[in-house]
Amino acid sequence: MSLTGTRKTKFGPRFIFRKTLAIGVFLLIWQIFPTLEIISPRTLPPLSEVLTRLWEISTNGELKVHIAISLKRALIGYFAAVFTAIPLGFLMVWSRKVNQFFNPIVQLFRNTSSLALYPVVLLLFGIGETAKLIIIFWTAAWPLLISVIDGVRAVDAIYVKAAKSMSISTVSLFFRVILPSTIPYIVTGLRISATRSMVALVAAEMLGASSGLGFLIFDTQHKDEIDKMYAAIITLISLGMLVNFGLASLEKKLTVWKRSAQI
Amino acid sequence: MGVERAVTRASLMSQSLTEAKTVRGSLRPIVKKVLRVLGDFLRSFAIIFIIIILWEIFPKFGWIDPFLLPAFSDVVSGFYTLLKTGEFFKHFNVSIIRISCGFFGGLALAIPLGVFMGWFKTFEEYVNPLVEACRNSSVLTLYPIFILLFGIGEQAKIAIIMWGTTWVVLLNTIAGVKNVDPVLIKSARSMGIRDLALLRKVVLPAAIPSIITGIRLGAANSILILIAAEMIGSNSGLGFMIFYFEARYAIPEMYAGVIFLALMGLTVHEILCRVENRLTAWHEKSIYFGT
Repeated sequence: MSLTGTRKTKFGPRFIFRKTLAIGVFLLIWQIFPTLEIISPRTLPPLSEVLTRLWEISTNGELKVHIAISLKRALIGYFAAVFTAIPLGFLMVWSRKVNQFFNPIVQLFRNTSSLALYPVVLLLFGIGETAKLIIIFWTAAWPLLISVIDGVRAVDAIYVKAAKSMSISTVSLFFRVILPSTIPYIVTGLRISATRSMVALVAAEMLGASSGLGFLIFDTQHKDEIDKMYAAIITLISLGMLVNFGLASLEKKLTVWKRSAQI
Repeated sequence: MGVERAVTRASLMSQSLTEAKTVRGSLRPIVKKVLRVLGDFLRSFAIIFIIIILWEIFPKFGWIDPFLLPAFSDVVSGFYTLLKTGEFFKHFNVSIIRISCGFFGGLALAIPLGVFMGWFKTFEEYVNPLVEACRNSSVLTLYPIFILLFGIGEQAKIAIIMWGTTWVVLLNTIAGVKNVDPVLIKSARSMGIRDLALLRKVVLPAAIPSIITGIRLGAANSILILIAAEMIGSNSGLGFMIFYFEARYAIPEMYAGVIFLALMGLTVHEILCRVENRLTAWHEKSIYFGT
């Protein structure tokens, strides 16, 4: 996904070459340096070894178990955040006074890193599933809430005035004017939250878990199974990028009208 | 946010001006203004007061187990003892050194590199996929690799904070340099400007808002990573401190540490937002890339 690209890109051999060259060189170095022992293969096993190990754990079902558990945690936390933060965000910008009332707490909590709250959550909920879900929920909720608030505040006042001058009811003002113009912001919030909840997932599984991809990474590091650790890291990173890429293309599709209006 | 504040300030000023004209000489407008500012202040911070009061009352009356949530006054006195014994500063200093080495190291790496990459667009086009991949791979996932490479000493922590800062700042710097209004560049060129002067006088000033946005996002990232790095394999620092207090059941001190970290995050964010607003006052459009 290229957010920086403004030039129109055409698919073709040149495009593919340009997109894959740097990553290709990186992977090549990963293969060659450890084989030639420029980097100790104990800290960085060659790519081929990591890939064979990845193939091995994905065929014998070990990886599948961890992915399933991690995804379940991430999805529950994320969707809980989606279903509470979006309505709550709309309520918080109901009026200027309500917004002013809630603003300090929103500003404080959005800047509180979820890891700082981890000991509090551990204390209140123990090291079970609930603690992990709450951490993911917390991390995912704030970016969403803020994007809803920003979105509503960015609604063009002319639309609202025009609709009001035609004596629109509050309910249809919300559904016909405010909600549609907030959607691009919500989609952006959905993407940022999804990325964040992947980070929170790893953080939650690092401490006191016995399953999940985050656990697998740290467990294999302790057991000194380095190639397996790299395999797990590759899996987790690809999963994160897949989620980000999917939501980014959705975002592009849904905000086409907004972007063209800006130009 | 800033815009709204400016608008309310402007409307307040114009209101008080008109009032001053109509009832000149009387004290009423001043009293009114004071009341309005006071009301604004109360409304802005009411929720904080309410939360603090509830936090004090609930444990005191036993509606919440005071072991799990000690009264706010206990937390404050816990913080006071931490300050008095110097235990807080011991951890705080360690954390500050780590985060400033990592954060400023990341900036020192990312900003020149970003300007370079934004200037040489072909190079940027080839490297961009790798940069995007690095930015999108969650830092915590990579932490074990950093431990493998650098051991569990200071180096690994500083390196991972650097990593977390670098990519956001880099992408924002590239975007800032690349997306300078072509009209500005063309008109400078038509006046026969040289490359270096173009970079220094046109491109860099125009890129600053975007760079500052990157710095703000990078700062938020570096606080998160600092705590993560101190949670695992560390015996000092603020991140270690809160987990240590939790394990030792020194709950008021733990809450004090958490509140301090939250306020630290808020302060850094506010300062950088102010800087950003000031620097972007002339420049409406800013580019956000970050999480």
